[in-house]
Amino acid sequence: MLDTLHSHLVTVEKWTVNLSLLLMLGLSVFQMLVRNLFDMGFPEIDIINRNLLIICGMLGAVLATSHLHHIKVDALATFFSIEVLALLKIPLALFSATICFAMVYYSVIFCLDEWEFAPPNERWTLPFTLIYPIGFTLLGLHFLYQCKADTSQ
Amino acid sequence: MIILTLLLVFIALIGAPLFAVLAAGGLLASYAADISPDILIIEMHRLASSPNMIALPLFTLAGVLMAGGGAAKRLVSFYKAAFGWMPGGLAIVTIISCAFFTAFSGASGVTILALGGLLYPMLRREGYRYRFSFGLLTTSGSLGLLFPPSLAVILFSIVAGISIKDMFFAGIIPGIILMVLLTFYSFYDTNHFKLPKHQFRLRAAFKTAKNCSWDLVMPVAILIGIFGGYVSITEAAATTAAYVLFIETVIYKEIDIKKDLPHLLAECSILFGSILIILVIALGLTNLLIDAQLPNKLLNLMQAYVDSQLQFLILMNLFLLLVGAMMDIFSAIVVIVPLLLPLAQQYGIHPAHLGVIFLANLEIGYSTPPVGINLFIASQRFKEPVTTLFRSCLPFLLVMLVWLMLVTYIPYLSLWWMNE
Repeated sequence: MLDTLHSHLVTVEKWTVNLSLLLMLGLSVFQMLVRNLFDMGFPEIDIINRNLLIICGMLGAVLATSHLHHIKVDALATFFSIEVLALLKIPLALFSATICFAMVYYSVIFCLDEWEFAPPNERWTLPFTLIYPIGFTLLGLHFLYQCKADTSQ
Repeated sequence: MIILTLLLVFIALIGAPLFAVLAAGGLLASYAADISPDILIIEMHRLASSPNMIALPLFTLAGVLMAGGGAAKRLVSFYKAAFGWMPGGLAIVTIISCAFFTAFSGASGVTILALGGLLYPMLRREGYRYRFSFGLLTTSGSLGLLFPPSLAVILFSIVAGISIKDMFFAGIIPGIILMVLLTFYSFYDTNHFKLPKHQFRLRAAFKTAKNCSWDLVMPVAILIGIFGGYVSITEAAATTAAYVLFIETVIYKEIDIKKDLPHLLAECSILFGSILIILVIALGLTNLLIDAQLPNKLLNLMQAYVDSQLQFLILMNLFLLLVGAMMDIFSAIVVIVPLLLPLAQQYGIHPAHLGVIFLANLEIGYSTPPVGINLFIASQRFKEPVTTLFRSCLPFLLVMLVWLMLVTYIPYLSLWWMNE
C-alpha cells in the first residue's frame, strides 16, 4: 500500500517537474523571440519563469531523494564497510527528515508573512510560494519512506 | 555550539545529504544569532529569483539532452576523421571530444559515461597502453569545465556575484592551455609505442562534419551570441536547450518524445534540483556567517601569518586541492567561495582570476581520492579498481598541476580581456 502510494507520488512529481521545465523553456524562448523580433516583452513571463525555476528545483530535489541522487560529502563513508554503511542509512535518513520538517515550519511562517505583507500587485504570485512548504514536506516524507524501505530490507 | 558544528561536519562526512547538514547549520546559526530561521527561506526565495539563475536548468537540460541523444557518437566520428591522422591522433580526439562534451554536460561524470565506452575500445584497438587510456579518459572527464556554457562557471559567477560573461572570458585561455599541455603530453607518451598511422581523408572528414554540422554550429553560435552581446546568458541558455531538443528529436531523431524525453527531463530536474537546494540553503547559511563576522575573523587570522599575495596563492592552492579531493565541485563552490572571496579580494586577487584558480583546483580534485567523482564513475564504467585508475591518472595530474601553477601565478592568462 505504502509502496504503491510512493510510486504514484513519484509519478506525479515527475510529471509536474517535466511540465514545469518544458513550460519554462517554452516561455523563455517565446520571451526571447518577442523581445528580439518585436522589441517588446511581458514582465509577467519573467516572474512566472522564476517561480517555475523554484518548482523545478524543489521537486528536482524531491526526486533526487527518491533516486538517492543527493550531493554528499561522504569522505569518511568510503572507509566504512558495507555493513556499517547499511547501519547508518536509517539514522541519516531520520536526521534529514527531521531537518526537512523543521524547514516546513519556517516555510509556513515565510508564506504567512508573504500573504500579510505582499503589495497588491504581487499577490497573484503568492500561491507559488507554497512550493517551499510542499517541497520540504515531500522531501521529509521521502526520507521517512527510505527508513521504511531500509527497515523492510 | 562548537561541539554541535563538529557533529554536523561528522554527519556530513559519513554521508548525510549536504543540503540537510547545511540546513541544520543554518538553523543552528540563526538560533545562535537570535534571528528567526525563516530568514533561510527568505534567502532561498531571493536567490532563486535572481535573473541569471534560469540559465542553470536550461543549460543543464541542453547537456542532458546531448548526452541522451547521439551527439557523442557523431562528434567522435568527426574529430577522428579530422584529427585522427596526427601522431597521438586518437588521444587528441579524446581530449577535444571530452572538452566539448563536458562544457555542455556540466562535468557531472556524464562525459565518462557517454564517451568512455565509445573511446576506450578505440584507444585499445589502436594500441594505446591500457594505463594511458584509463588515465586519459578519467582526467578528460572534467576537461571542458572552464569553457562556456559550463555549469560550474555559471554557478561560481552566481555565488561570487560576478558577471557570467566575464567568467566565461576568463576561462577560455586557461582551458585551451590545459588542452594543449595534455596534447603535448600525449605526443610525448605515445611516441614510445608503435601506433598505426592514418591518412587524412578529406572525403571522410567532410562526410562526418556534415553528419554533425548541427552539433558543431552550437558552440560557435553560443560564443558569438554571448561574447558579441547579441543575447543574454538566459537567452543563450533557452536557445541552446530548445535547439538541442529540436535537433535530437526532429533532425537526428535520437530522442523519442514519448519514450525518452520524460526520463531525460526528470534527469535534468534531479541534477538541477540537487544543486539548487544546496545552493540556496548554503547561501542562506553563509549570510548568517557573514553577519557573525566570520570572514573578517578569518581575514584577521590570515593577515597575522600571511604577508604577500604569493604566500596567499600558495596556501589557497594547497587548501583547494584538499577541498577538491574531499568535496564535489558544486558543494565546494557554494560552501567555500563566499568565505574565500573576501580574503582573496583583500590580497588583490580579481574574482574572475579566483574563479579560474578555484575551478582549476577542483578540476584536478575530480580525479583524486577519496571522493574524486571521475575515479568512481570511471571505475563503474571500466570495471577497474579506483586505485588502478588513480595510478593511471598520475602523469596526467602532474601535467594538470603544472597548468595550475601557470594559471595561478600568471593572472594575465585569465584577465587578458580586461586590458582591452
